[in-house]
Amino acid sequence: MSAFITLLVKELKSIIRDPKMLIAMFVVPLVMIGVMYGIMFAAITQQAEQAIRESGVIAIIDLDHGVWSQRFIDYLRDQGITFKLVENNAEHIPDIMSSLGVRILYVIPSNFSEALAANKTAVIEYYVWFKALTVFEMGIADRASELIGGFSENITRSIIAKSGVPEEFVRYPVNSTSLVVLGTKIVKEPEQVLAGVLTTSLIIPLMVFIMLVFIIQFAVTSIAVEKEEKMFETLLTLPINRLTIVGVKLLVSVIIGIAYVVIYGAILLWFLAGSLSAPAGAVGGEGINLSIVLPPNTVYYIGAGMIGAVLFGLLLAMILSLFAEDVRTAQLVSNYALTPLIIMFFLSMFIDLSSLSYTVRAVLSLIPLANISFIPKLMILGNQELGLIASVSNIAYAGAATVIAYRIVNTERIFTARLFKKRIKVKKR
Amino acid sequence: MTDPIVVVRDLVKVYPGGVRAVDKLSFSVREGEIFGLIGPNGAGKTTTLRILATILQPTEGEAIVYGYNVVKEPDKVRSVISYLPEEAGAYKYLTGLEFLEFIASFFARDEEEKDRMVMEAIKISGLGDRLRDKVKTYSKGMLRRLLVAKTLMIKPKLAILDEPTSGLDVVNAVKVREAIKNYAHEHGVTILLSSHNMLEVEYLCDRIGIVHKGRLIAEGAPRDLIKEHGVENLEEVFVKLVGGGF
Repeated sequence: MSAFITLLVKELKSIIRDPKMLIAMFVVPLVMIGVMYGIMFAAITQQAEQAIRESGVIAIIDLDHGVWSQRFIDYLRDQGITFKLVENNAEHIPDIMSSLGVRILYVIPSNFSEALAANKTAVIEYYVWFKALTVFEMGIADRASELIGGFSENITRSIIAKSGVPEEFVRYPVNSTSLVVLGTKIVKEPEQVLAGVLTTSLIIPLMVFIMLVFIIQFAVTSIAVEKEEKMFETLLTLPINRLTIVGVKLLVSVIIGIAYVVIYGAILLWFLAGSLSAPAGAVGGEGINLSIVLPPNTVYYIGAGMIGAVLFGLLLAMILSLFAEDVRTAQLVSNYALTPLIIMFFLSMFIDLSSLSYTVRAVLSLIPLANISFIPKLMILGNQELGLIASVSNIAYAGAATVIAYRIVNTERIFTARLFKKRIKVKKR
Repeated sequence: MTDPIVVVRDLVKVYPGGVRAVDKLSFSVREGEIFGLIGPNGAGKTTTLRILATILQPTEGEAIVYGYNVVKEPDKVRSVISYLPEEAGAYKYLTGLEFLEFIASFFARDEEEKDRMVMEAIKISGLGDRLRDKVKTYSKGMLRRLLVAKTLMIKPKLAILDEPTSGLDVVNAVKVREAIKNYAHEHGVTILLSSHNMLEVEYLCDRIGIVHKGRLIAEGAPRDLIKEHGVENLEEVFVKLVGGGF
């Protein structure tokens, strides 16, 4: 049996039998994920509420000037919505929304009343201004859609009273087509945009990040157990490559990390599907054409950045693990390293990059791991060079970490590295 | 006795912070002998053994094991040594047998050789059926016997034992000493050990080196040293040389 397999078998036996490892595997990650989801859910709620507030003032372009368009306006008034009627032929929508400062704009087409009077489905276009490119702008889109849905229900009650009305018409008297203003572009199907932004700036980075948190946590604890059981010194003198010793632990950590991502990913998707109704179907990625939504090369930048982030995370785990003396310090070491990264990562999902200066965006694009979620936003905002920097920087960090890890593993530092300075069995004379 | 298989020349180890643990230490160990490094706590014994076991790197000087330089050829050194640290442990959630099999796997060329090693370890440890129990249930003495067995079972060219009986009660200490002495004489294994138990050293070692403040202050067979200094036992030699100033 090769040294690698021998170590792997031993590692798996230890995991199954050692309560400390089980704590590191289940209890600590559960607490950390609980905190992470808690922060995220709180922020989602807060921003969703903000989105509702911001959608309180909407703009309407009434090209119909008919009975039913007036009834729609009255309906909005009854709902307590503050609106601005705009005299315009529905051109230069981005300019109108920007100058009025509204996030939702309804365009009632000229044949709206005529269609309804003829028992035909009428259409109201609504425009949603995605200003901050945070995932919570879907709340605004939801709001725009809900108001039309409410109005539709409202008129259904009137129409249904008439005899001979087709059931299909009763159920869906008004449909909508929605468009998104993205920068200076108008993009169809906001769900596609949201799904693209969600997938590339939230779901995938979050899955990778969760995996790295587990890997780092587990690898650090795993080496710490080796030291706590006073086996590390013996291991270093066995005829095996030192990288193999650490590598096996990382491999086991990666396997467990992937398993966790599957479990916690499923929980996250369940949460998103349940609480954020608009993109729920799109979150799964079905039918998402990212190339339509995102600028060219974005997917490649994200992919490269992700690979760099995973490598950097693994190497960081290796380095941190060598500084842990026991399980207690292992938790301390991983917390020191992970806490700022977790904070930065979650902040990155809520930061409105469009409101920040170029310099600040450049600085943010250099934050390791967290910068993955910035890449699609930077690309949409036209800062392609910063997207590239964010992508490449993770690879550069991985390179630097490789050099550090190599220097530690292949020297006595693998044995002497400590979080806190402590003399090694030598009394000062 | 034949040519030396361990040669330590002018070895210096300065830890970060300036502590000079080993200071121009020189000695050699011949093939087949049991050589003891003795000295007070902090004399540099453990540091020297760790350098020979390729865990630490010397600041200056040279250490050769079986012809291999510990700094330039650490992998080759690791293939001929077996090291027992003073504060060694074993995987608590493996059984004694599983632990021995785990260690043997790194040295055995095939399953048959691994089985032979484990059988040898069972004999050395004298733990019998308790080897089927998890290590976490072992007493300190049992654990040390298991560790001595894992160190010797592979028939290394050089066994490095750091305080092999440290912290053990009399019965377990005697058992460990017997195991080491019998195995070394039976298989001709070279042993380099450290201790501050003079009786143990006198009983086990063919030759000793007395280390004080990182330097070797005397070297030779215990009886020769006792005779040379005109005292009753090794303890008196030690006190005479060190002068109680440690």
